Parts: sequence; C-alpha cells; structure tokens
Amino acid sequence: MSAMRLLVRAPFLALLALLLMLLGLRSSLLRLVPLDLGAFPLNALLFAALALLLLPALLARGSPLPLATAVALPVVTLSAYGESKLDWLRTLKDFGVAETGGTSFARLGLALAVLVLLWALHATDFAARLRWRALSRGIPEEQANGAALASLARSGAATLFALAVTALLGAAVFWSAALGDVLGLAGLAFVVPLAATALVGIGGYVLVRGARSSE
Amino acid sequence: MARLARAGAALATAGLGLLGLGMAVGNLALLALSVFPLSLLAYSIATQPRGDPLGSRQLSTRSPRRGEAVEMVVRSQASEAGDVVEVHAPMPESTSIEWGSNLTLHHGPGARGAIVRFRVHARGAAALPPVVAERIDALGLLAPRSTEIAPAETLRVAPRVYPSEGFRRRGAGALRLQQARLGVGSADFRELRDYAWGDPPKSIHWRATARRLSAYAGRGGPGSTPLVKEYDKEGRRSALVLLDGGDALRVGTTLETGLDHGVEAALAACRLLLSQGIRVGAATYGAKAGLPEPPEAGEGQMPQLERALSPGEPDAAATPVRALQQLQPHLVGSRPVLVVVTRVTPATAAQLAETAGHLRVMLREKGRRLPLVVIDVRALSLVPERGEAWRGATRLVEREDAAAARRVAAAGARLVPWRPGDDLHALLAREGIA
Repeated sequence: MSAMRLLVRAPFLALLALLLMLLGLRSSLLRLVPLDLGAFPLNALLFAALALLLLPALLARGSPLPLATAVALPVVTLSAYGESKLDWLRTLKDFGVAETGGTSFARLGLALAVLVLLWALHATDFAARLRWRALSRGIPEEQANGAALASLARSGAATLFALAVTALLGAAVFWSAALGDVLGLAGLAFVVPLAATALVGIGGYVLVRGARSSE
Repeated sequence: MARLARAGAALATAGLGLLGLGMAVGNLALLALSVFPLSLLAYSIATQPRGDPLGSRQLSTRSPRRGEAVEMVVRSQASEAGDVVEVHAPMPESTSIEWGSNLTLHHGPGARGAIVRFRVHARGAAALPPVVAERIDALGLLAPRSTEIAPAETLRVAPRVYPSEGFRRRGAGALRLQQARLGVGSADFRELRDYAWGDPPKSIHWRATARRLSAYAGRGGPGSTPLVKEYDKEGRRSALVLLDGGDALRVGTTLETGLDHGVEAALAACRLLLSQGIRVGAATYGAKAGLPEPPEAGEGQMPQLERALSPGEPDAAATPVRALQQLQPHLVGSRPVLVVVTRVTPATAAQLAETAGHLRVMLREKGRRLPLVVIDVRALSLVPERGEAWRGATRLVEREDAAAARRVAAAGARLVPWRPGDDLHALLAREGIA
C-alpha cells in the first residue's frame, strides 16, 4: 500500500511544489525580502522547502488533501495579497507592496492550477485507495477496477462543473467590480463584488440545504 | 444528513477561508478562487445518490452440521449512476470461507450478487450479523453511510457425523447376523425394520409390509423386503457414554476445539453401539448440559443422545460420578460398559480414578479390569505451533498427560488414544468396541 501511495502522490506533489514556488515568486510581498529568491540556488531552496512541507501529505494514511491544502492555501493567499483593495492594517502602502495594476490574471491562472492540482491529487489518490482497499479485502479485481474508474469519471465531471462555475462567477465578480468603478462608487466600489460573492454564498447554502432536506 | 469526510472538510475550509479572506481584504482573486472548492463540495452534495440500496441474503441451510459447507448468496442493488456501494456480509469467528467472497463492490445502477461457501467450525448457535451496505461517496468528500440490507441470521450448528460407510462395509456380514438378533424377546416393541436372514417368519409384520409395497406400487427395489417387528431382547447389553465438557477439552482454535471433536467422538461411539443393538445412554459432565439420557436401543435414540451430549458453559460441580449416580436407577440388573470421552490430564485422571472406583462398587467388580473405556482425545495437537518454546512446553504437558494416562489404566480403565482427524471408526473397531 505504502509504495502504491508514494507512486500515486509523488508526481502530483512534486508538480504542486513547483507551481507553489512559481506562485510564491510572483508575490509582491517578496519586495520585503532583501534577497532575490527567483535566482538559483535560492529558488531551488524554496522548492526544496515547499517539498519538505508537502512531505506529510505524501505519507498521510488517509487523503493527502488536508495536509496539502494547509501548505498551498497560505501560499495562494500571500501571493495575491498585494492586490487587496481594503488595506485595513495599512500594511500594503506603508511597506510599498500594494499592486495598483489590478488583478494579475496570469497569477490567478496559476493559483487556479494549484487548486485543480490539489483536487486531482485527491481524486487520483482516492480512486487508488478505493481500489487497493477493495483488493485487500478480497473483492474481485474487475469490481475494484470498475469502482476506481467510476470514482475517477465522477471526479472528472465534478472538475468540469467546478471550473465552469468558477469561470462564470469569477467573470461576474470581476465584471461587477469593473461596473462599480464605472459607476464611480469610489469607496463603495467593493460593494458590488461583495454582493455578488454573497449571492454565490447564499446559492451554495440553498443548494446544500436542498440536498440535506431531500435525504 | 450528509457528513463531510476529512477531505471534504479540508475543501470546505479552503473555500470558506478564501471567501472570508477575500471579503475581508477586498481581494477579487481570492473571491474568484473560493468558488472552485465550494462548487466541488456543492456538486458532491447535490449529486449524491438518494434512497438506500436494497438487498437480501439466502442460505443453503440454517442448521448445518459442524464442518459442513454452507452456501450464502447476498444480492444487492444500487440505484444510481456513480453510486459506489460496498456490500459486506460479516462472518462469525468460528467460520472459514472456503470459496467466494462475502464482499461485493457496486458501481453504477443494477443488481449484484456475492456467493460465498463457508464452513462453521463450532457447535451451537452461530450468529451471522446483518448484511451491511456502505455507500461510498465516489468523490471521497462525504463520509460513507452504512445501512443494513438484510437482517441477522442464526445458524444452529449440530455436531459433525463421522462417515460410517467404511465401517458398514467392513462389518456388513457381522451386522446382518446381528440384525436377526437371538435371545428371548420381551414384550417391549422397539421398531419395524427390514427382514434379515435368520428372522422367524412369524415376526413379519404383514400389514406394514403390504402398506409399503402398495406405496412402492410393487416396483420392487429396497421397498420390496418384508418388514419385521423388533422387540427388545432380555439381557441386552447396555453402554453409557460420558462426555467431559470441562476445561481439559477446551483447547484449540476458534475454528477447531477439542470439545467439538469430543462431542463428535461421543456421538460416533453412540451410533456404533446402537447399530450393534446395544442399549446406549449418555450424559455430559464438567459443563452445563441436557439431562442424562438413560440407556435405550434403536436408531430413534440418537436425537436424545445428541441432546444429552451438548455441553454448554463449564460447570465444575457436574462430576462424572454425579452423572453415574443420576443414571444408576436405570442400570439395575445390567452390567453396562462405560465409555468416557475426555482428554486425560493430571486433573481429569483423578476424576477418572474416582469414577472407576464408583463403577467398581456399583458393579461389585472384584477383578482388575473394569468395563470402562476412556477415549483420550489428543486435543493438544489442534493448537498451532508457536516456536521452539511452545514445542518444549507441549512436550512437557504430553509427558504429564502420559503419566496421568498410566494412573487411569492402573485404576482398571482401558485407554483408547485418539487424535482428531484419525479414523475413529477404524480405531473403535480395532479396540473391539465397534
């Protein structure tokens, strides 16, 4: 089991460490660091540090998703921190890390790729564990393979759905923010995307509640 | 209500974390990114299959003999596409699966069946837990849900019957002569049986013979033999079979214990003695059991003997002497052979010596030899070996048991050592018991 687990997870986690390194190097917060982390060998050290942080996810007994998320989420958040519009703590301007050019779609794409990779890691690992558990309990190989393939197919469908929804709602968020700017809402410019996000949240809640009540 | 698995909780935390942080600092990128994990979670919850899987269980028999194969068919039905359902029919410890699997894994709609052939290795009630269907979320985000699709069942496991074909073949001639029993018939009707060479013509029961012939429509075959009235004979020999249900025989594994072999050895001895026209009674000591069965002849006695030889929980107060005393009123005027099935150990040797003494007084026996046969079940061999230290300990115990066996022999008993798995019938025939 452990060899199979390593084989399934290692490529995903190596790619994840690489993507997280690239994402981290795009953060405006790096202006605070007196070193050029993008240059060799510091970038290699950064990669090694991220790989080391992802090691518990490689060895996790259950799903590697919680431990991998615990590493990826802070990197994703910090990389996009400079784009924030509300500077509550006045840190962005005081330290000169605020990004005035708006959202970097390249970085956004990279961050989305990190999330998709996290999901792919979980889906592949889950299907492999489902198959291995079935085989170890004496279930015929045909049934075990069928269940693993069904799980992968459903994960694929879920990925397409989630990407479509993300693209749709992401576009709505950015479009509504632009609309707020056009309408000259100035300080209230963030009200429209906030309202859009709240609508997404409410929609999700209604969906979940509907699913529960129909059980 | 759907419960999240650890992965689902991690995804919800990621989505809500990005959403909360994005809203707090006004970060559009984080807000847009939060949609991906949350929509995965929403997809998983919204598309989870509704309704419980259905299923049933069929057993080839609910009252098998120990060691007999039982076939179990578990049928189950998942309802929707993407539905991954694992159906599990748990087995009790005392069973071993011989062929097939008690597990099946569905994916997608349709019916599935799992066939398993297993053997039950312990007498008594074997409880089969309910068949459980575990619905697994194909995305791995929701915790599995278990439902019972078939109720629990109980198998009533009877002791094993040793095959007696070989014995019958070997002793066929002697048995046939035995069937036409000599001796003074009493007025106690015993049974109707097939005519055997030597039976007097007046013993033929013509009406029963005619009834059977008409039932067979005169086709001949086994039903064309006349039926003979059998009466108990005066002076018939009696035998008592005593089974030790105490700790000495309770060695082995969950699949095979000395006690189970002891019960089967006692029943095999009963069957052989009955087949020779001997009146057989039985009792269990050292354990809670049914009432002692006084000696009677005929195959119809077997169910009562099985009841009397069904040991339950150990009971140190139930001694062989007490069992003999309970049966003593039924033994007046007869000189029964006492067959004790036990494992001879230093502890049981003392009991056996006391029993021999009691038998000597009861029969007013002055000679050295007593009509006492001890079938020594060598149950220690059933315990799997666990290394050199274990082998050394086993040798020590065997040495102690051998010394105990010598003490039992000195008390006037005849010892018949029997290793489970050996041909018991051949052994009893060799020892002149069968």
